[in-house]
Amino acid sequence: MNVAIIIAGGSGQRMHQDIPKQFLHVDNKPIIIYTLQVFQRHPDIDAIEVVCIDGWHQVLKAYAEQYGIDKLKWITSGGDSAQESIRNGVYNLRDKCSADDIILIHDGIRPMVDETVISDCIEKCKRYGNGVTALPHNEHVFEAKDDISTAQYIPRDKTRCVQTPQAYGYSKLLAAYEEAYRREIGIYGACYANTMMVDLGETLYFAVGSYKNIKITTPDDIELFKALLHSKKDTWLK
Amino acid sequence: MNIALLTAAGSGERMHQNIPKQFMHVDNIPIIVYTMLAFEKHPNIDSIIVVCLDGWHDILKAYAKQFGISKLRWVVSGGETGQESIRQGLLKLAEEGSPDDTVIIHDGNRPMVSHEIIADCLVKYELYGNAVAAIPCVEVVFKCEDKISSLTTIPRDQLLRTQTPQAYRLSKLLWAHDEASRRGISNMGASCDLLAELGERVYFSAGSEKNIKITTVDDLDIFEALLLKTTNSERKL
Repeated sequence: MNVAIIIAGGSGQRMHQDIPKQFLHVDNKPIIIYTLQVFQRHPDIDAIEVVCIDGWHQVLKAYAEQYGIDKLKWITSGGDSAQESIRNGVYNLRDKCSADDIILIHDGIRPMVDETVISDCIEKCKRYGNGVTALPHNEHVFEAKDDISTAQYIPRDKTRCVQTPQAYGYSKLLAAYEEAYRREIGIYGACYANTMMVDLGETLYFAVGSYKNIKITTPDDIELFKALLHSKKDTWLK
Repeated sequence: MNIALLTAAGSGERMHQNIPKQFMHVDNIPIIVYTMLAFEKHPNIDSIIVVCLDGWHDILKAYAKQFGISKLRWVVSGGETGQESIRQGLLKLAEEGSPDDTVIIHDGNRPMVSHEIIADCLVKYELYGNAVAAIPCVEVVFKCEDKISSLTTIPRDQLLRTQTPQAYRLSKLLWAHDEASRRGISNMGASCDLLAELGERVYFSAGSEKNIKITTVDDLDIFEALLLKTTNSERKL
């Protein structure tokens, strides 16, 4: 079984809005529904769990029913950080998933994820035991010496940007979270499932990413998302 | 104090949707927010109470903050019927308000209520002690007994169609609802209906054909069209 855990536990504080960003509407539809629809339509996804901010569970349920997201099986409460939210989602599946199930972790505010990205992520996980969506850098990455200067760059062919979805085998993922929280490794700050895995000594495998798979965190990103939603590829482009 | 009591406790069953109709979005704004904004912007309204469907209180509060509804002071749970929902709002106001407060009851899914309609409701309330927005009946009305035919028309100049807003003194509404439970009167969703049933004379204020109640999917289309027209005329200015 392939299960998607969609992380939607954020309160929208960073965006300075009162409506949590995953529930902001674009074309009269909440962002989280765009995300859920992609997983709903993907033939290899069997079930969906959403880790959701408290107070919004009923609302999410109504939206899911309205838009026919019948793969949505569980709604779990979020935590104070992305890591706590993922952990809650993973722990909640203890009696629901089996050891060799594949779990895809995905940000609820990445509504532009497409079918091929999900497929390749599952594919890499089957082949290597995990798969994290990744992209080469277009920009040059420099290591800051201090707040104003640098004397060190990282060759960009040596780096990758990692996004979501990220796929892991369930037994490995569950054991990793239990160990990470027991030993307090890779759980604080901006840590995520991928960085925690590396902190625990795991090797991660890259899956195909997409530049369009943006994470909506600022009002500018909403404009970008709107533009992407309405844009069509010119017919003359090869 | 003039308090707007907005009813938004319906589950949307009649519309056959999973999202309650007052929370459906048109131009990325939920219907209940359009309604709250009308009262927020009206200078004679001091505060707003919303009787809200359970499970949707947090979302309502978040919307109110997002769209700058600073007059929203209370959100309470609804009841089984329209009458019971209004009663829940009144019970809260009995604790928080004073008996002489004016309560302007309004359907949360009537987002097109205008400044003039609210103003006239308050004016007629001052004059007569209560006020119910109403419009003339333009269609010919037949009385129908067998569902397929009729011989009897009701003279339409004697008929008015009531809408909301409706303004009453808080003490009067509390009395009416107490009296209703004493006499076993239930399912009077419209307060004017309840008052008339209890022998009280009600007074009419200006309503509007545009002050539609959104209950069907068709109504959503009409609302969108009305909104578009409003935006277009604003653009010309």
